Amino acid sequence: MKIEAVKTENALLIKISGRLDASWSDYFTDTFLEYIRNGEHYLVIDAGELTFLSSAGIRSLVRISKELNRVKGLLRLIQANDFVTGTLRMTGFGEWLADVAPEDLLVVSDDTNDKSEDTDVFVLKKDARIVVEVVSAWKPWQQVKEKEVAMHEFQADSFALGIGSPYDKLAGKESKYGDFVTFCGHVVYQMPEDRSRPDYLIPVADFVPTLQTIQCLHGRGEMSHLWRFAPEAEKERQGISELASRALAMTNAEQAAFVILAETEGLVGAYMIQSPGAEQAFKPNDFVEMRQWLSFCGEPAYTGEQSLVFGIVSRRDSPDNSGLLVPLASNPGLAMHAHAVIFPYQPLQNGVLDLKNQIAKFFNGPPPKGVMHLLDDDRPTLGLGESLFTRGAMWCAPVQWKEETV
Amino acid sequence: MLKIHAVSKTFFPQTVNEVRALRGIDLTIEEGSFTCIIGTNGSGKSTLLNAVAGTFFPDSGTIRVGEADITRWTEYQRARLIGRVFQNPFAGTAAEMTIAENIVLAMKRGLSHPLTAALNKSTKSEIGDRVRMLKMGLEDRLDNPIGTLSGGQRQALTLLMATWLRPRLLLLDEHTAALDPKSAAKIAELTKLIIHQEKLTALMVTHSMQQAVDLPDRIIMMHKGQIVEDFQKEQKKRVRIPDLLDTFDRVQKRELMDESVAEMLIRDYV
Repeated sequence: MKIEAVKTENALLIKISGRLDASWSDYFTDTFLEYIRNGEHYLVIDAGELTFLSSAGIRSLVRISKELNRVKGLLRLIQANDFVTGTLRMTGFGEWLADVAPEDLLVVSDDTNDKSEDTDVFVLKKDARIVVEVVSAWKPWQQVKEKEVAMHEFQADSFALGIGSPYDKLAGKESKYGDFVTFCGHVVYQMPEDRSRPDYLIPVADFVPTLQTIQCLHGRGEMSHLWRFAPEAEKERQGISELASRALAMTNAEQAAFVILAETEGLVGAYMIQSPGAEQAFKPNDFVEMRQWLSFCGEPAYTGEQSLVFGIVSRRDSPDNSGLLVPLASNPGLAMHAHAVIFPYQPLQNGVLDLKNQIAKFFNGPPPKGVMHLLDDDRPTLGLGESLFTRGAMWCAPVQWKEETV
Repeated sequence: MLKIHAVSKTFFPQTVNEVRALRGIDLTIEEGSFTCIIGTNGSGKSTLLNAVAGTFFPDSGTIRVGEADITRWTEYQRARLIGRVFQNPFAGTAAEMTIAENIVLAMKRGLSHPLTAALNKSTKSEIGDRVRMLKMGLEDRLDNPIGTLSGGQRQALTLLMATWLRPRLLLLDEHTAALDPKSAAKIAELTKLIIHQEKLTALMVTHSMQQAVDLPDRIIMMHKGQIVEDFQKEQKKRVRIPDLLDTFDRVQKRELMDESVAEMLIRDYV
């Protein structure tokens, strides 16, 4: 089987020749799923030289069609011979057949495919903003004090990050304080144990996710802007500092909150594997002891998976109301705090994406693989740098600090 | 049943080639349990098996099988209690001797006058019955030299021979690693069957995550001469290959946490 793809004005035209049967169906499926992953969601198959289509081939087409449906894409076959046309009609997939000549799909060169920088910026709600409250402001390497502990509810418009526990007592290690992040009231929490997987709390009916937090930046409101980004000839990936800087530029703000949903090139960060508590100070004396407290990624992690990141970024010369924003080595003009949750890869629809729908989609899909406090590793020679993303979406809004914060 | 207490072994001590292969290993294996040891290359898993088998004496610590302290027993003395299957399918059998003759030797292992009994009709019939359970058709080839068999067939017979006298402890040292995938799967299946049927206590070293998940009751993970994870009971039942790979990943990541990382974390993990 031979597969050749040509970019057209509105779709990807894929000429296939040979037999689409059990021997080739896996290769065919993988090739097409890769097209979808690369953002091609309108796929037109020129089946003029497709000589045979078996049940295994139809199963491949069904799989591809389902994947396209998830991102509101489209699959069509043109120029199919009588056998293929008859097979698809008999099996109830006649809707995939279309009557278009390949030359009617305008072929475009790679050059004209490049989009201007702001093509994918969308203003969602011009005046929207995120009002951020510093709920609790414990800093690592200290003993937890009772006044730092706050029971906190997360509503449907909540975005938050920090360190917290679903347990309700301040009880040393048993409190199980771990890194968490919240999107539209959906809370993901990393149990502070080396072996554990992230757990999550989803708002359903009257249930409102609640955590006992010791460190929590809690924002409420709506996002004002959306930026869709994809690899470009000159820039194949985006660093989180570039995305954060972009959030400030788009919102024209000194401080901004952002949510990134994107395919991951590599995440750099750490998470807590031992809970701090009231009974003991969290003060590692050396790196051997540090190993008992934090798990550091060691190398860029979760490549190819989908990351969902919530962060707050500030220009360095703006006041930091929380004391929890850390200067970025990759962009010394910025300070940031961001947590990520990692889900198995799912393609994203092109164009404007509704944040709430996407959050619901991911939290109702396969379970998250990890939660991470993102870091910018600037160690000389050995440093891993910052987290990188290849394709996705970033929602953002200006931050307004709530007055009565801790 | 098997009690390993504070066992340490350093090869080439006080030289540039010094290797601290076992660092104070403490491990108790219950009677009738099947334990698997996994770990990275050089983690000490085969060294631990060799220490139990008596290939060398540990520098410190004790090894007990049942009530017997076997720490200073030689390898052949331990053969009375311990059966062993090696990675090399040609290691456990004599190629020029027939299948039946090889098995007779295994039947007499550990006895004081091992070669007194001849291969008579009833013995041969007993051998045939036991070999039949391998489902390889070897019961009809008992008079063929064992050297004419494939690696998988020889390893199956080696397994049968090692367990013929129901040893107190069975050691399996990557015993499927040198076989093709199909033979390896067959031997893995036989291993599980024989251990469960005979209610043997077994300790297996493997690189196969699939075998580690499918076969034993307990998984021990070693790294740099130490036991770093121990999955048993309910935790073993829920463990899957990705969990083991994650654990390997975590153990190796932990090694990457050095002074420079700690310094960065103290500054930036706020």
